[in-house]
Amino acid sequence: MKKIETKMIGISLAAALLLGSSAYAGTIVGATAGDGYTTPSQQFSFGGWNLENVAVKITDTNYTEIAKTFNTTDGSYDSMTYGDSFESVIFDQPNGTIMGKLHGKDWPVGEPAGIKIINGDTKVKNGKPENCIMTTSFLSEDDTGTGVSGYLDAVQPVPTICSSPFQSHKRFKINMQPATVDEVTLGEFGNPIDIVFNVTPDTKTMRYQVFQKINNYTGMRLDGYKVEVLGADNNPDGNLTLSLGLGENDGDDIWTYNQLAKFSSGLWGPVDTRHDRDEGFFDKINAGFYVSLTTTNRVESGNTLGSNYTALFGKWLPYEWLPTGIFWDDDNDPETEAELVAFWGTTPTQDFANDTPSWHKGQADNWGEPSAQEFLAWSTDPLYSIDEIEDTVNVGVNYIVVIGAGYTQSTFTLRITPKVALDQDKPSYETTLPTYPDIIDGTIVINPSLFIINDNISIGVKDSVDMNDSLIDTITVLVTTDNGDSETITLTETNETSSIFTALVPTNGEDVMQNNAIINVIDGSIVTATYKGNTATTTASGTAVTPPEEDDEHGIVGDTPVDTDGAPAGGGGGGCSYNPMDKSFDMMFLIILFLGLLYPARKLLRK
Amino acid sequence: MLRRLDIRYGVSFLFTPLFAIFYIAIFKQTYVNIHTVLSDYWSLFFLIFFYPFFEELAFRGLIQGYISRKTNHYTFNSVLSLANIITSILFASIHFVHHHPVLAALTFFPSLLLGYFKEHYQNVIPSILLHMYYNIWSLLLII
Repeated sequence: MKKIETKMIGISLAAALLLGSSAYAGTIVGATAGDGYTTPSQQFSFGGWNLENVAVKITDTNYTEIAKTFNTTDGSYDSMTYGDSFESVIFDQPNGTIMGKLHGKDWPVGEPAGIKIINGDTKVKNGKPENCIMTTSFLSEDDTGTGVSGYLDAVQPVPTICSSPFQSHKRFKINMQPATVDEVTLGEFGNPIDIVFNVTPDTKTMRYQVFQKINNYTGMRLDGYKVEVLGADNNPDGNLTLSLGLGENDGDDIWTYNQLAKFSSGLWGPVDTRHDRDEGFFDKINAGFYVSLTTTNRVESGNTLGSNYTALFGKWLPYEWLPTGIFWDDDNDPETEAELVAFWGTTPTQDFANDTPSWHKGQADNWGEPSAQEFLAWSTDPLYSIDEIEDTVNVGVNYIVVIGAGYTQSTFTLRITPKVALDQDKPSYETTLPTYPDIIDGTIVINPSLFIINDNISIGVKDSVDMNDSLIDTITVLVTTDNGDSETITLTETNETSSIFTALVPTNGEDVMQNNAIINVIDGSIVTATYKGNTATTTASGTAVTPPEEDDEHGIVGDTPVDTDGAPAGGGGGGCSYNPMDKSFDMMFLIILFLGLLYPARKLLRK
Repeated sequence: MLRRLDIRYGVSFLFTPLFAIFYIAIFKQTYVNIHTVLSDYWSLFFLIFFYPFFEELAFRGLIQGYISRKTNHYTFNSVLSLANIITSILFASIHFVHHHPVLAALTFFPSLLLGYFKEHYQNVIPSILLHMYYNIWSLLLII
């Protein structure tokens, strides 16, 4: 009997070990997860990307080459500083035609050459490979886990790895160049971009997740793409295959159908509670392509995912036709993505090629046109800016490269090929450029109208009467609060001829002190700005609210994240009534302790 | 008879990996920072020893015994007792306090096993040991 029991326990433990372990393999030249960054001005994990058909340029942030060089034999480069970036130009052959330009993050977030290999990252989840091909980026202070920056200007840079957090800049971007569609028939696949990797033979099969975006800089509309993996001789090899992760996550798929090739989820996508993201600005449905494995070594896009992308813009836009948008830098951090609040174009029910464009808010606002008041607020608040909506040409793709144990060649190639769209209609916003509404003289705004105490507020005024168009004029506005503060604030014209005046004014919750250029408020204070213009007196108001308190129940507590529902994640298995997020002895603890002790106590009393 | 019961007890240890697979399939990811948990001996002690011990005394010992007497030891097919089912509902209920609702609901099933062995061995110690093993597994599956 004992033997059977021992066997059962042994089987259980064996199963535990089997589930707890994971296959390890890694044969593209590169670093192992956990390797520390050691040598400044030398690419971390250099050597996996074969640079024979690549020219690595150190540039400014506009990708204009500067007098610094990158050594393609050992990955060393001239010391970089703020304002430096890089661009890796991919040719069809050494020094041939430019097919693609690869970008990563600017220094100090990223470093040349733009692609690195990470092997043996055992912290990946959901069946994803423990190895990956990703960009040469580093972790921010929010992502290192120590609260200390891991960027290249930090004491100890910390490179991103396969399992690095969501939105930690893991994808390299390949801007497909005009040569990829040169002399290509509409509706057909174009000319390829080849990315070559150096391989060390291994007896094990290895899987690599590719963190990548493919961006349309071809000058033509596209209708999809294909990715192939080829041997050193540019022919298919039985040991080189691609995978879309189907059934590789304990029988489930690693990615859903709408995650394989998609545009920014912030523009087209459902609410994402896990990552605290609202539904997409343009649509609740992901935009992008269905993707399938057409042969063992090729993934190919098919129909679009069904969002309103095509109704808004037509087929996959080229960079030259980027739409214009108004962005709000909601966290005042240029490293994070600003939020789109309005765009210049047509709505999904209009004809994008022929109808007259205008300014529209997003689908959540039913495509409403912004008011003149909103335009004044946006134009006088420095957190708002007008820019092109770059993510309308960028597609994030997900796939896995599988290198079989029998692969013996020293390199392999990832080949990316765009498919040219039949429809090449130019959107109407390209011929009718953005205009801005006339704002009535004397209009005044406070932005945001509901502001948090200690935040700055922006005050804006439009007045063109009796202004000098050769000077930057100033005006004054009286700001009063219902809790007794009074400030005279000077607003400065944004340029000599704009007739738009703005000032950024700090607020705080301290005792009222008049005329100190700080607005002292309490929770619920009404702030009123009054402008006595040359033709009329106008007012605007805002309301102060207390800063939200840190909520440990629904946020990050120490190093222990919480799950999507805000509820603490149990350990699984038994889990217990134990609160894993709180070491204090709560009521549950006392109840369990009391009931537990009552059982032996009753037995003792009976005796 | 004793041999069959012992086999069942051994098989119950196998139940844990199956539960873990089921759990991972449902939750896809785990969010607990294992390094934090492993470096916190206080948490480990409570998770692996304290709560299994006192929960079993409370639920299998006190509550299940009490309900069993009140229901005249009523059983379904000589396998599941009414007391075990009611106790397991209570057991799962308290897990809603600190755990994800789906996970809390799922604890109903291992609770039935724990209750079963308590009744068959007429002793709460096998349940305590099995519960501790389950909780060790709860750590293994997030490593």
